[in-house]
Parts: sequence; structure tokens; C-alpha cells
Amino acid sequence: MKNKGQAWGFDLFAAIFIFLGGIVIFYFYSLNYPSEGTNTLQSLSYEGNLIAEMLLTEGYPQNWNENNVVRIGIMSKNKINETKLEKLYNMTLIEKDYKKTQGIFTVRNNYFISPSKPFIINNIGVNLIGRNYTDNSQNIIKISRLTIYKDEPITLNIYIWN
Amino acid sequence: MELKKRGVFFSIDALVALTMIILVILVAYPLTKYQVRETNIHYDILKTLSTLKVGEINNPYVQGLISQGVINNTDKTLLEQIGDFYITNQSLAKKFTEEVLSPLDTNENIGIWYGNLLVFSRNRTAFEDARNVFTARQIISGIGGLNNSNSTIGPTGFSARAFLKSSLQKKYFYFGGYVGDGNLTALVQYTGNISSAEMELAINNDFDLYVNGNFVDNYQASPSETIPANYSILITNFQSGNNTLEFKGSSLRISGGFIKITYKSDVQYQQPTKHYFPGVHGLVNIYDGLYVPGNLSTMNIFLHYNSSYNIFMKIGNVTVFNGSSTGETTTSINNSYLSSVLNYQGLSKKTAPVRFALENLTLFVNVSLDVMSVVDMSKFMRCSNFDAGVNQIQCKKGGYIWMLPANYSKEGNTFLINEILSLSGGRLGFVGMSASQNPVTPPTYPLSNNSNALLNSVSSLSQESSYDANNLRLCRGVILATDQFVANSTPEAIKVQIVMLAGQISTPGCNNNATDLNNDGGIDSRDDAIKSACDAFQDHNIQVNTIGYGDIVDTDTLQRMADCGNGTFYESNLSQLVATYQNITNEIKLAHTQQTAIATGNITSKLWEDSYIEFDYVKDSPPFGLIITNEKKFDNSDTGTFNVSSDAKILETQGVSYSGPKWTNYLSINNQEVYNLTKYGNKYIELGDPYAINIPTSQVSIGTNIIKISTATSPANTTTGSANNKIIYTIVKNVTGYSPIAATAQGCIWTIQFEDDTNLTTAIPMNYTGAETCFFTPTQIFNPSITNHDAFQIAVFNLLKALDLNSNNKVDLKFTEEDIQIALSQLTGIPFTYSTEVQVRIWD
Repeated sequence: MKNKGQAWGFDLFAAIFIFLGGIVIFYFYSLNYPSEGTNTLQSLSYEGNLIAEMLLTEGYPQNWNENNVVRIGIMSKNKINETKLEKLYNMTLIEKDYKKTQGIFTVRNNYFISPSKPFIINNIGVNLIGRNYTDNSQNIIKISRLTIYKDEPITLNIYIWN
Repeated sequence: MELKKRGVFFSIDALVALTMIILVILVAYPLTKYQVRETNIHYDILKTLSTLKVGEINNPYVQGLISQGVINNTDKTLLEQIGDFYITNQSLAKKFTEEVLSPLDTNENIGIWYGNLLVFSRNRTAFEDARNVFTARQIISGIGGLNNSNSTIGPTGFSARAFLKSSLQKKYFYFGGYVGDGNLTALVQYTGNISSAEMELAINNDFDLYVNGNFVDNYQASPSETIPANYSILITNFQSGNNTLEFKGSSLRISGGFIKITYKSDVQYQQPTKHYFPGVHGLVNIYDGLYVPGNLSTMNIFLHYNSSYNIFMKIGNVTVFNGSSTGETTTSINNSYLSSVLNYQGLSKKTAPVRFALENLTLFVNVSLDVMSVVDMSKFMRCSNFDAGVNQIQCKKGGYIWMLPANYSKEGNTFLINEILSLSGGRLGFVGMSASQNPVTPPTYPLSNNSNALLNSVSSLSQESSYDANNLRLCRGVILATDQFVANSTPEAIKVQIVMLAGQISTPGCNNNATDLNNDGGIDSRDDAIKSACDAFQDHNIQVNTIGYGDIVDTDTLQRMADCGNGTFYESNLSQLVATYQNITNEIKLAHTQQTAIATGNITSKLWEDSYIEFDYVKDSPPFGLIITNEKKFDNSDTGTFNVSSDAKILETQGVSYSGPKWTNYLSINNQEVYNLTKYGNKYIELGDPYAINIPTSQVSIGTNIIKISTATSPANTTTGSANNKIIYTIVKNVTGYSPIAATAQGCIWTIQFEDDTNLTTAIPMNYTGAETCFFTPTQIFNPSITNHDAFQIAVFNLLKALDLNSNNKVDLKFTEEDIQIALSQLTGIPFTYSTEVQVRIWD
């Protein structure tokens, strides 16, 4: 009788321990696991920074165009290159090329670029390059960067939304 | 049983494995979430500011600065330009940064620091409250050269050198250790333009001062004869050349002090070749000193005086002049005479006392002096040789002396009364040394200054009936005299016993001693007598002098008594007894006489201030550099210290002593003797007393020097000096202030405080038109570590610092605005060494 009771006691003890372990694991996972909203914002922020980082480079090739572009960068010698800016602007006007820019930027979400002072492209003031958000947009993130345009510091705001 | 065991093992294995898994999860999995900062705008700011050049930026404010000439070098980046402004104009740096970053549109907290200066900030929460800070850094160097219109490219630095092309000179006229008594004059000579005049004097009475015959002011006496007062003198009546300063008042005497003038002259430092005496009209009584800075080769003395009484002059211990006149007269003493009487070698590079005074002056003993005379009262006279007989006839027949102590002691003590009571504060008393073994009160007269009463008391000694002692008990006489001091004297009084003994000491003793003090193998009345003298001195500071006369006198005991009583034993005989008393009183007076003379009768004499001692010697080469004279007060009544920096050469050092009516008898530097009055004699009253004692330059060390001074009225009566003593030293120094390579060379309006607490406010360089103010005063001081960009400012500050010998933020060398010169070295194209770190910080 004693031996039987002892075996049962060990089994019960192990079961309780396993049960408690499961509770602890669940607790930590539930604490650290990000919510869906947070995930989305992080994803948007990540993609916004990807765009900003790539934009503020010279791009590749150095004198890229919509056909041969590998990396989209609008800078030359730490200043915005107006030619490259115009090429980007032109690409975003066409849906197909806009999608291409998304691919080059490796982002799934939509984006647009807005300067603190309008870009002058073809003698027209441009306040937005890319796809503006709509009424149906649910999440939007703004990434601000400082750069030089027409020998003047400007803030380059990169918005990314879905 | 086998199955059960297996089941237990299985459960334990599972439990251990599960525990390990849970532990790994607990350790490895994060408990909190870390936010990752994903903005890089602080790097963008640095990149933007270091890319855009001043000449490129499309900004009206910046273009305005360029057109105004505020910015000269348009090739600099914005980051460098802000750095320039950070150095030269920090408010402009902030405004400039604000303007160029006006397009910055972000919700981030941002701040830009140059070094420790925040030049730009845009924030929602304070930096101090930041939880996380992210910083982008960049070192910038080569900034500067803003005001260099010639420089358009590259960094330019400036280096400046500040120096004094000339300075105001100081000249001292030292009075002696004692100059009196009457109206006094001093001759002050200079060539140039006087800037200020002042005096520091220990003077006994209020006085009127005249300069070149013009009344200047009435001044009050100094607090005491050892505490000087400082007086400023209007310089209106001074003139280049000879100036006579007259001090008029009631029996004036100066016991140390100097007149100091500050003046501008083309004539630089000259070693002295003349020592002028102060003028005295009244009772000429001068105690002074003479210092010859080199090996004395020739000496001449010129005296201008008027005295119908004999005047003497003594250098060291040698009288070089003694004479009188029937009116105003001049006397020259030439070198051939002086070289024959003086030891020139002994006067070289030493301060020697100089005394110039009327002869037979009554000098002042300014102490309370109590003297007890212990008189031998032997009832039975006896022959000086016991074997010659028991009466006077037999004694004289044998050729010996019949001893009559009473008669002779009467004569000696009468003399003593007159001598002691002639001194101010002198008192005398008597104790008869006669009591027998059965105590009988001997004749005693307490301390008194009643001359008649004392004389009557002594007169009664001539009656032999008053001789009532069968046995002479020396110890009892001393003890009774000591009791008199204890009962009637004061602690500050000088206490002296004069114990006279004829013949030998008889028994019994006084039972006051248990030691064989004379080492004769027994304890008897002799030991008791010695013990009583020892006790008198050790317990009550009573000096015990002993006199023994007769050819059987117990000299051993008397000598031991004097030794233990800090006195002197005088061996005498009947005929010399009065002379011995005179010797004792002379010694007492000599030990306590001071320099103050007392006029008796209508004595008038005059010494003119143009009297001098001229000397020649091999002089040192003229020094090169700035000559700075500084005064340093003593730390206490006997010690003073001063420092000589390694970049300075000492020219002169004087220890000045406010000895009052006493003599400065000893001066040492770093425990090396410099001056010892005793080397010129023990009778100080016959010697001079220098106020300023020169210390040979060879004895002055680089670094800290310690000077000690003592004063005395006799070799045995030494005291500490005055806490107002000073060290006055002159150094020569190449004083130049350099700046490191700095961004600008503009200047400043300086306010400089000198050691005499006068101020100079002037633009340096003189063509500086800006409004920046700089200070070198004890209350406000330029700080080169804060304002470290201007070469002129730093060079001037370094110059002033070098001129502040005692580091009290007051400049020791006086100068005018014309004296200070600035030379500029412009270092074009050489990378300016100044650099700083720029930090752009963002925080949340």
C-alpha cells in the first residue's frame, strides 16, 4: 500500500509542476507578445525608415533612371539632386512604376514624401511625391529627416500608410 | 517492486527536464519590451550643417551677416561658422543656429551642444528629464580667425605677447630705528614724474607735514611706537630733484618707518652710494644703520649741524666724529681718516649700526625696577686675617685690614639709593643680614621710592647699636629680601637683589635645603645660601647679584649664588665697594635703558637732512628686466616669510623692524645670521639701531625664505619684535605674458587693482573700441578657462598674473596705460589648435 501511494504522490507532483510551468509560459508569452496594432505600427515605422534611408543616398546606379534603377536615392553630395527627385516624382505618377518603387524600397505599404518647403519640379511646386492616403487608410506613420534642397535645409517627411 | 521503482525514476526524470526548460525560458525570454529609436534626424542635422557652406545657404539672415561683414569667410560650413560664433559671440551663435535650422519640422526633442554650450534646442520635454538620449557627435577644429580680414580661406590663429615697456618706480627713504627728538626732516630725491607718495611711520605725536615748505596736512600719531600708521601724501608740492619733507610737532620721534614715492623715470635701478641722515631740530638723537651693498672702497661723511654741545657719530662701535659748533657748520670727514679707523671689510655687505647724537643725553629707563639690597650687618668686626689678632690695633699692626662692613656698606647703599631712584620707576629696599639663630627681626626697609626715608634708614646703620646679630646668616638675608619682593613688587617689575657679604658665612643655616649644592660633602649654611638664591630666581624671577669683599670672603658660595640667581658675582675690597655698587647699577641701567632721550635744560641742536655718508664699492651690472619692489608683512611678532620665484633675481632685501625704543639686535634668514648687534658691543645704548636691515642677496634663496627678528635693550634682555615688521624686497624679472594660439585678437577694457589698492581702468590695446570688460581685482578676476578665445586678453591676463607676486589678485608693480604694450603674432594658414565637440542629442 505504501509503495502505491508513493507512486501516485510523485505523479501528482509532476502533474502540478507541469501545469504551473504551462501557466508561467503562457503568462510570459502573453506579456511580451505584441498586439496586432503595435505590430502594424512597427511594420510601418520600419518601412518608413527603409524608404528614408534609401532616399537619402545617391541611389544605384549613380545616375539611375526608371529603367535601370536598383536603389532609389535622390541625393548627390549630401544635397537633394533635383534630377533624381524629378525621376522619382515621375515614377510615382504611374501606378506601375509606383509599385516598382515599393518593390525597390522593399515595402508593402503605401507611402508619400512631403517636404517642409515645396519641391520645384518642372516649375511647379510639389508638396507630395508618392501615394497620398485615403479616407479608408487605417494606419499612418511619419518619418522626419533633415536634408538640403536648393541650398537650404528642409525637413523631408516620409509618410507610410495602409 | 521493480515496476514501482521504474515509475519513480520516470517521474523524477520528467520533473528535472521540465524544470530545466522553464528555467531556460525564464532566463532567455525578455520580461520587458525595449523601444528601439528609429529616427536618425540628429545625424541628418550634423550632416546638413557640415555640408552647407555659409556662402551657399539660401537664408536672408546669413546673407545679411555676410553683407554686414560679420561673416568674412563664406567658405566655412555652417557647423564651423557656428563654432566661430561660439568662441567669439555666443549669443550670435545661438541666433545663427536658430535661423539656419528654422525649416526643421519634427516632434523630436533636439538639442545642439558646442562643448558645454547649448546653442540650439527644440523640445517638448526638458533634457534633464530625459529617459533615453541618443547622440550624434562630431569634432570640429580650426575654427577662429573671425576678425582677420586678410584671411578668406582656412583657419587663422592669433598669438599675442603682452609686456611693460616701462613701469613706475618705487623709492624708499628709510628712517632709522629711532630718530628724535624734535622737528624732523627728510630729503627725498627722484628724477621724473611722481605718481604717488605715502609714509609708514611709528611716530609718537601728531604732526604737521610740509613738502618743500608747503603745508600739506596734519596727521595723527601712530597707534604706538611699535605699531606704525600709514599716511598718504598729496603730491602737488613734489618736484623732480630734491624734496624736503618736514615733520613738525611736539618732541617728535620716529621709531622706524619710511617714505615711499612712486614715480616715472627714464633712470632705471641704481645701487645706492649715499646714505642721508634725517634732519633733527631739537635733541639730536639718531639710531640708524648703514648698508654697503658691495666691497667698500672709499667712504666720506658730510655733516651739516649746529650744536653748542658735543655731538658724536659712531659707525659700528667706532666713533668717527665728535665735536660741537658755535653756529651752523659743515664738516667733512674724508676717506683717509675713515679708512684708518674703520674696518672697511667689516662694513662691506653688512648692515652696521650708526649712532648720531648729543653726548651726555639722559636716556630713559622705561621699566619698573625694584632693587633689594641685602646688607652685611656683622656686629663684631674683625681683622681680615684671623691670626693677626682680635682687635683693630693688632690687625693693622700686622698689616691687615680691619673690616668695618657697616661703614662701607652705608656708603655703598647711599650711592645705590641715589642711582636707583634717579630712574623712572626705580625703587629700593634693604634687608639687614644679621639675624641670630634665635630669630630676631633684622633691620628691614621695604621697597620704596622715598629717597629721604631710605637715606635715613641707611644713615642709622652707622650706629653700631643697630648691629644686633651675633651670627651672619646669608641665607636668611636673601630669603627676607625675596619675601619683600613677593609682598611689594609687581609681576612686570624688574627684580634685582644685591647681596653684600664681608668675610665668610657663619652657621647656622636656614634649613631650606637638603642638597649638597656646593659639592663639599655636607649640607650646611653655604648650601642654604645658594638654595635661597636659586629659589629667588627660579620661583620669582629675581636676579641675585653678589658682592664679596675681604681677603677671607667665601667667594665660592657667592659665585654659586650669583650663577644660580642669574646675576653676577663681584669680588671687591673695602676701598672699591662703592665702585662695585656703581658697576652693578650701571649694568642694571644699561640692560633696561631705552633709546628715548630726556631733555634736561634748554638744549637745542640741529642736524640738517643734507648730511650724509657717501660710499663707493664695486657695483653689479645693471639688471635687465622689470624691477618690482614688494612689501610683505611679518606673519607674527618674530617671523616673516617671502617667496622668490625661480624666474626672478633678487636685487635687494630688507627686513624692517619696528623696535620702538629698543634695539633690533638680531636678524636671521633661513636660520643664517645676518645681523647681530652684540658683535658691535654689549652696551646697546652706545650703538645705533637700523630700522632697515639689508640681507645680502647671496643669502636669499629661491623659494620660501624665513626671516626672524628680535629686539632687546641689552644682550640679556631680548624680546620678540613687532608683528608689524616687514620684508621689503626688490626683484628683477622678465615679465611677459603670452597667449596660446587663439581665435581672435580683439582686446578688452581692463580694470586692474594694484597692491596699494588703486585701480587702473584702460582699454588694452589702447585702440580697442569694443565694450567687453575684463578684471584683475581680488573681487573679480578674468577667467581664461571660460573666456579663452582672445589672444590679447589671455596675454594681458598672463602678464598681470606674473606681476602679482603674492597671488592676491593685486598687481605689485604699478604702471600706467601707456606702459603696457601688446604685440601680435598672426598665424595665417596654420591650423588653429582650438577644437571642440559638437553634439546633437535627441531624447524622450
